[in-house]
Amino acid sequence: MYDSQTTRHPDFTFLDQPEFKLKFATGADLASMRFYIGGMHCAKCVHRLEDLSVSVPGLLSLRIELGKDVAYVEIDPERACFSQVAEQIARLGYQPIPLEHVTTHEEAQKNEGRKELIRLAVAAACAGNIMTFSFATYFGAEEWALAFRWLSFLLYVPVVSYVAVPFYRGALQSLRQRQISIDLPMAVASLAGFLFSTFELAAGRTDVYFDSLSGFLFLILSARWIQRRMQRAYLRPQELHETLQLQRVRKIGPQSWEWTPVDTLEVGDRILVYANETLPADAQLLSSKAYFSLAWLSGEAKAKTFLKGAVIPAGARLLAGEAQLTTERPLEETGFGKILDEVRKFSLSQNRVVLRADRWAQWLLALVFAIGLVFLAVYWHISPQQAVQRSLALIILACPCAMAFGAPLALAVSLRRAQKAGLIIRNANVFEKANAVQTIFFDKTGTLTDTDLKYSGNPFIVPQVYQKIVLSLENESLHPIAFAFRQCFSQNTLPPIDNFQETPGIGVSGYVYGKYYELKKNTAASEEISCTLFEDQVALIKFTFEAQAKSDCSATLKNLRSKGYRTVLLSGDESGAVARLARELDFKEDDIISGASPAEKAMVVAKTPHSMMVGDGINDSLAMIQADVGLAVSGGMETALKTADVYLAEDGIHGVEALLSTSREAFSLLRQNLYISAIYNVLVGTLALMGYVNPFVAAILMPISSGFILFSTWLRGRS
Amino acid sequence: MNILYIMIPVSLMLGFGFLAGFIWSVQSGQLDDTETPACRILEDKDK
Repeated sequence: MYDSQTTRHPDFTFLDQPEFKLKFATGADLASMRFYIGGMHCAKCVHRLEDLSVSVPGLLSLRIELGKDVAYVEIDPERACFSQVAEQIARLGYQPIPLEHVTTHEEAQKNEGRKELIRLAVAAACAGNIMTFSFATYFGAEEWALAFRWLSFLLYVPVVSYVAVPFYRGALQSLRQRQISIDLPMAVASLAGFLFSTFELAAGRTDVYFDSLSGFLFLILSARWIQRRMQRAYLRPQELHETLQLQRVRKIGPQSWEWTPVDTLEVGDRILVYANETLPADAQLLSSKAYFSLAWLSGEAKAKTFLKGAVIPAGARLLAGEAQLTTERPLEETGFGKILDEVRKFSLSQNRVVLRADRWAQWLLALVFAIGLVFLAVYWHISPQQAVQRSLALIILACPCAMAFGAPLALAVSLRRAQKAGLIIRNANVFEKANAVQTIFFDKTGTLTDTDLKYSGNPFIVPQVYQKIVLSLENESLHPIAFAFRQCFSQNTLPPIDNFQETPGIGVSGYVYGKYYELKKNTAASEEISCTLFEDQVALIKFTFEAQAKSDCSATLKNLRSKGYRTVLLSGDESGAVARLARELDFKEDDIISGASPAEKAMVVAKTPHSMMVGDGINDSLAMIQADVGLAVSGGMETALKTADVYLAEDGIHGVEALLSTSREAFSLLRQNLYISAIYNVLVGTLALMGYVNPFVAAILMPISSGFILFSTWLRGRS
Repeated sequence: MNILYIMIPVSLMLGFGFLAGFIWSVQSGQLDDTETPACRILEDKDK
């Protein structure tokens, strides 16, 4: 939802006010701030932005972190202010969004990341050196074998006492919750393997597993590290959870207006709203007239005219000009506030990722433990030492670790691919659900079409005289139709107009060259948006308007249909306006639903299994929640991020296709990883129980499956 | 093979020397952002 008429940059002056500074700025004298900057992608962007610190006086530093799309800004409060910096950034064509400081969380995450990296480095150093020693032993350094085994033991001490700590912690935690987690066999393997090998070493035998265990722990740790790192960098939009626009409002004081946080707004306060802004409270109109879009409520794009004294519901978007209002009811008590609340609660409860692969891994794990115990009990009578050794080998070797990290790793890689395709994904569950999608619902206005109206006829065949008359009549108007006229007709000189009158909801009229002209909106419900020019009560010419379909719609829809998806047009607009677009985009007769309110949309979507909802704003948000996959198109970022699972960062809807193909890729990768680990587990488990696993076999087998999964995932992630 | 008495401690010292260096670089924040610095050097500031 963006009105191309207003190219004015957003107003950032609120950033200099103390109450907002406290919210966003950090540091001793509140001189630092973070901005999320949408639209950065290359080295050029980094330079253009970072060079601002040279050209803007008082800007001490501006550093970009590309992976997170964040700019760290530090200013000298005496010489510069944040609003200047934000404005400069906006002037370069980016959209800076100040980020609320979440210092503790952010710092904790950074420290956590560093600690993990150090742990990984220690694991690598120890495992690498142990491997060197043991391979030398296997390949015949007989006289040094004993010394090498003791060196391995020494090098394994930091592994068992430091590197493996996260596994112990995870195992304990899962035991406390009476669950089996993948950390459990790792902890058992690390500790039991250490005790067993140390015992063997002390007894002068050669069955030591330091090499295989350390190598294996290192591989698992690196897989986890890669996965966490990708998620941390690419799931970031979660941090943008608050809609910025609804945080502040222009409150009119005795002299002029100033930004005020919405939550401090009181009933009776006078507020000022500009074009394209959303009303943050139910409010009574003080200006003589204003055009608002109630799209969130009704789902239709048409402008509604309000006159002085009317109460306008929160969530209405002012279409043009500016409006003054008096607050009647604060946001949280309004219908809009309640929807927002519902949506917020829902998205909070939805964040847990439960994967089927995880559950399989847990079952397999329980199975491996059970087999191990049964074997131990049965074989004890034959040879206690062999029984312990073989069942231990089974638990260590056949634990489905590869399965457990193969799945999240596949998802992490897919998240990265999705990000490159211009998708912002909030929830990794999306891939699993998107893979099952059969029916795709599309909202019309703002999703398949641009929000601006366009004259649908050929402007060149409209006689010049009429063009001039229409433009004079519409000269002052802020109605969307007026903007459409101004865009397609251009005349240098406009005839003067007498006795001009604008009747909201009907049209404009006035005398030009002594004749009485009227431009009246056609109100028939089934009609497309249109108006007719009358000369002395005689209809002269009819103008119809339409919202233009986005350029990639037709191709994307065609591709989706050829892949067997059912595409449904689900619109709040009237059937007349919907029908033309549906024809243009080849929707089937049964797959067109028009005149649906947000609640009805949600119901239709909820009744359809395996559904995906593609929408653009708060009016689709209920449907997006109900759908298995909610996808928001570019433009409505602030509201969309809260409700949708996926947000398209690029214009158009081709991202829908990208999402579906990425999901399919993700699942084939997932399946591949699962197959590899399943085959490995069965094979190695059998070998272990039959007693064929000695330290040398373990040293080769253990890293193979993990390493192979890591490698193949990386390989496919690159292509 | 007596040379091994020297070579093994040396190799271990080298290895753990590099590990110490890596830990220092992580803790001083050099690896917090691995993407942007690569872009910074691409443009000549003096032109």
